[in-house]
Amino acid sequence: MDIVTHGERIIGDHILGFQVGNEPDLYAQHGHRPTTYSPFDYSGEFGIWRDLWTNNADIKNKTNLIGPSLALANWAMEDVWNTPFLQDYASSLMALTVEK
Amino acid sequence: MPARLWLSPLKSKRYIFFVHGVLLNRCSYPDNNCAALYEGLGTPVNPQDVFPNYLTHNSGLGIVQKLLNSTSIAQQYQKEFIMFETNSASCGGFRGISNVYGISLWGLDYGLQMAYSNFSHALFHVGGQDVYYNVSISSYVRVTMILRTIHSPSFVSFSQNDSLSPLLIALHSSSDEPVKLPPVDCWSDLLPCYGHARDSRQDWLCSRR
Repeated sequence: MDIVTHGERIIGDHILGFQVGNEPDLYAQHGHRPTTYSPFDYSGEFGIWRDLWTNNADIKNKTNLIGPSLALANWAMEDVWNTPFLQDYASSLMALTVEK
Repeated sequence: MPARLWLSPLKSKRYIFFVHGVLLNRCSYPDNNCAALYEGLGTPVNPQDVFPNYLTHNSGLGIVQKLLNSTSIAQQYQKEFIMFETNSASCGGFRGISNVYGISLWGLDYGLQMAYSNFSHALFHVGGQDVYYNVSISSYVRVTMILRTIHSPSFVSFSQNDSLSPLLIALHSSSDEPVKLPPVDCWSDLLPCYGHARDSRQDWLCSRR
C-alpha cells in the first residue's frame, strides 16, 4: 500500500484513482492465476484490497478505487456485473473501467 | 512506466493513476501486432491487409457497442466509465497504420463515438521508441536543438494540446462542462459526422476516410 500513501502525499488532489488489478481476465492465460480463475475470484480479491484500503489509517481517500479493467479477452463486462462486485464495492469505486 | 495521454473534456485537471496488482503485456485492442514482437504469440498480420478495417466508422462503433450496457450501468451507479489503455493495435501498433494520417481520422471518430456512448475519459496508450503508435517521435538527426520532436499523425487527434486537437476542441465548452455530441445523421461509414449545439450555433465535426 506504499504506492497509495506516497501517491497521496506527492500528488495529492490530482490523483484520479487507484486501479485494483489490470486485465484480470488474462491472469489465468498468462499464468498469474490458476486456470480456474473466475470473475468471482477477482471480485473476492478486489474485496481484500478494498478492506486494506478501508482499514489503513494512512490513506485519506477511501472512495477512489477503479476496476475491473477487463481486456475483454476472456470475460465480458457482464461476467463481472453478475458477481457481487458492484453491490459490494460501489461505495469505494470512483469509476468502472475497460481496456480495449 | 510508458507515458499516457488522457482525453477528457475537463482540460483543467491533470490525471495520474497507479496500477495495482499484476501488470500484463498484452491488451485487447482492435487488433494486435504481437506476432511481430513475440515468437509464437498471435497470428502474423500484414498491415495493409487490415488497414481498411480502420477506415470506417464501424471500427469505433464496434468497439463501444459491446460496452453500451456497461456505460448505462455506470450511470445507474453514478460512476464514471473510463476506457483505459486503448490505441490502434497492441504490441506497439502497426507500421504503416498506427503512424500514418489515416489513424488520425480513426482516432477522431473513435474518440467522439466514445464520448457519445457516455464514456467519461479515454487513455490512448503510447510507449517508447520501439512502438508505432506514439504521438511524437524523436528526431533522428542533429536538428533536435531546434525541432526537438516530430509529431506523428496520431498527435492530430490524440494531442493534449488543445489548440491542435480537434477531438479536445470538440469536447470542450466555454464552461468546461462535458459537451454532448450526438452523431446526428451519420452520413456514411466513410464520413461519420458528429454535431452539437453550442449557444445558438450548430457545429459539425466530420471525419472523412
